[in-house]
Amino acid sequence: MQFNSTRQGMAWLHTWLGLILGFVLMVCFFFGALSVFDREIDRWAIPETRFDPQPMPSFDNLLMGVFERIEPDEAEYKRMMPEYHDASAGEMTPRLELPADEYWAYTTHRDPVLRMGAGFRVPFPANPEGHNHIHGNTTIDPRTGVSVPDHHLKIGSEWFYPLHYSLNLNWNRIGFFIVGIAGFFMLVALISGVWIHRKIFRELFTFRRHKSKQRSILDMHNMTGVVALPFHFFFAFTGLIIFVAFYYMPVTNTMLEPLHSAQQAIEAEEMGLPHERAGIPAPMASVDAMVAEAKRRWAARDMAGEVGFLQMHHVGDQNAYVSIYRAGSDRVALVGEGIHFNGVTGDVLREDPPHSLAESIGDFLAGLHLQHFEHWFLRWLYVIGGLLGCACIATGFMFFVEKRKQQHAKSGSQGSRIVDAFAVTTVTGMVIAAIAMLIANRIIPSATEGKGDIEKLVFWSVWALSFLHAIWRSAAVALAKTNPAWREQTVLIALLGVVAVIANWISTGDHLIKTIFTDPYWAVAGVDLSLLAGSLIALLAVKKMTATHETERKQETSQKKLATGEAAYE
Amino acid sequence: MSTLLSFTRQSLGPVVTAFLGGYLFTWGFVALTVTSTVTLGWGFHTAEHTAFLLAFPVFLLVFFWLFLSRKTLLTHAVAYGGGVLMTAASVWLQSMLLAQGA
Repeated sequence: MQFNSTRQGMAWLHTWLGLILGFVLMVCFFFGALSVFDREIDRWAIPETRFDPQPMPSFDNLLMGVFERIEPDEAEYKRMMPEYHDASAGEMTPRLELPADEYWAYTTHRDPVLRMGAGFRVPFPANPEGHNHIHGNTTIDPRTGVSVPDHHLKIGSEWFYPLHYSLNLNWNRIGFFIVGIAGFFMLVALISGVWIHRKIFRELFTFRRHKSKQRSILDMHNMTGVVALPFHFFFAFTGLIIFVAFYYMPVTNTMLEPLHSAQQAIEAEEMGLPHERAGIPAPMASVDAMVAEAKRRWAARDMAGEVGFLQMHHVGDQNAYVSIYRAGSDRVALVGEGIHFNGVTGDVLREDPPHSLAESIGDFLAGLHLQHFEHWFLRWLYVIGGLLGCACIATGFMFFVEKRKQQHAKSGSQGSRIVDAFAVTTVTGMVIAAIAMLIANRIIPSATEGKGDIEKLVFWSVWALSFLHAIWRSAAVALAKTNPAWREQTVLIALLGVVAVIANWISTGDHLIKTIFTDPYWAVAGVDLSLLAGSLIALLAVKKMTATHETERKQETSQKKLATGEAAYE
Repeated sequence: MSTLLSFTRQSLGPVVTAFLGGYLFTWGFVALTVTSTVTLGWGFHTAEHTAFLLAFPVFLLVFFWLFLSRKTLLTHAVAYGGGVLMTAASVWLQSMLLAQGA
């Protein structure tokens, strides 16, 4: 395509790629912003887990018993066993008889519950060199070892969080690739946006709310884009960096896999960590003693800390070893200062050396995105940055429609109408779907089998309904007016936010006076307050939209009168 | 419908070819960076991290270059050809390294 100037080409890229992929980016930014408090949303959604964060409990006295109760996941067994197993070598091992090979436990400074998992070996593997594990996971109350029921969906960390990087479309990981492409074109849109808006500093302070609607929307689009420009850039970039090696450009896991494997074997030999099982059964040494030794060594390095991740390899074998990683709550970079122990003798096998410069930059970028650090003010800045991204994209949609709807109304084109309906769905519809899911979570009884699946169904159904509503009400846009669905769905957001808070109160007894004053529990209070703040913002938006609607209606009436008068005069 | 088809062909076509050209070039760049730095004695994971940190800046540069260039045929030939050449060179370097017992 030929452009008269680079700026014209950049403007084309910014407009059209921003529009096409903006719908995906809106989902990434909104649910990414919610993911900053995913654990807190989990507490809101699963009242049984509303207690204070706990340190990693005793492995010897509590965790070992829980690990032994974990079963291989039934769905994964059905899906992966035929692929992993070599039928000509021997019979397929029944699911509950698969031998455990690996255990892990993970917690953060925000987790009252403890996530645990096991990897089970597949006897007679088709590819003996491969990682032939069927997995099983559980979440427990670390004070008692009792499991949180599986049908309770962790809405924050298992639904909103993966939505922002995979759209929860898991067929052939298609969601990951859509988000990856959108993330790349977000970088393109940011660079082209900076290129076409040369007066960046001035735009930081420019918002002319009394000018025309189109002007105000463009000012808002520029301002929200510029204010959080470094945030938008590093989030898109670091998001791509996190997945690049696995999904987006798996050079070293496909084409260079032979070299990768050869290097890994050399590294494993240098590290002194057994790569394979010895095949000789052996009892485990005390893991609690290893944890104590790891903590002593971290303290000696002047970085005393708690255990964040613990992994046991080759369980029950003479080659068993235990890797203990430090929780990264006091730093940005995602480093675990791992210490590895012989699982049978309890001796230290190795301490991870400092990373190279390139690896350290990678650790820092990943940590910047995943924010495992304990810094509440910074976490809120992340939320604000994410929401500014949403505002930037939403005003981009609105500007696209405002700029073209008069022209499309005259030519009879449906372009603005369609774009506007999609914009309503991704801006207000998405928020409605998220709150509706939370309300469903509080209304559906805790013991209901498949509760989590029903909540997911509510989410998708409500979102689909919001699209149908936006399409149904979009005729106004074809006449160069505003789609009433914007106002109607915003009213619904204002109502649903309050309903969700009341539903939480009625179903759990945790009202705001209790969670803020009498028995403080900020995870739940924060979600309730955010819902109410959302309602308030929606209410203010409705007021503004009603005023704009009135102005439009008056203008229309006076134009009609003028037209009637002119016709009578003629 | 014809407007949509024409938009797709005339406008999205150049975006797609620039994206694919940029991707292929970056794939070759990453592969060659990893294998050449490992040949020079770098650790595999350091080489891998370095290559992936540079991947998206390179991808973006090539994408913009291909999309905005007036000499479309030449730039695309350089990007696609360069990607294939770098990929081939990295495969050759890998076989050399494996033969040396890397």
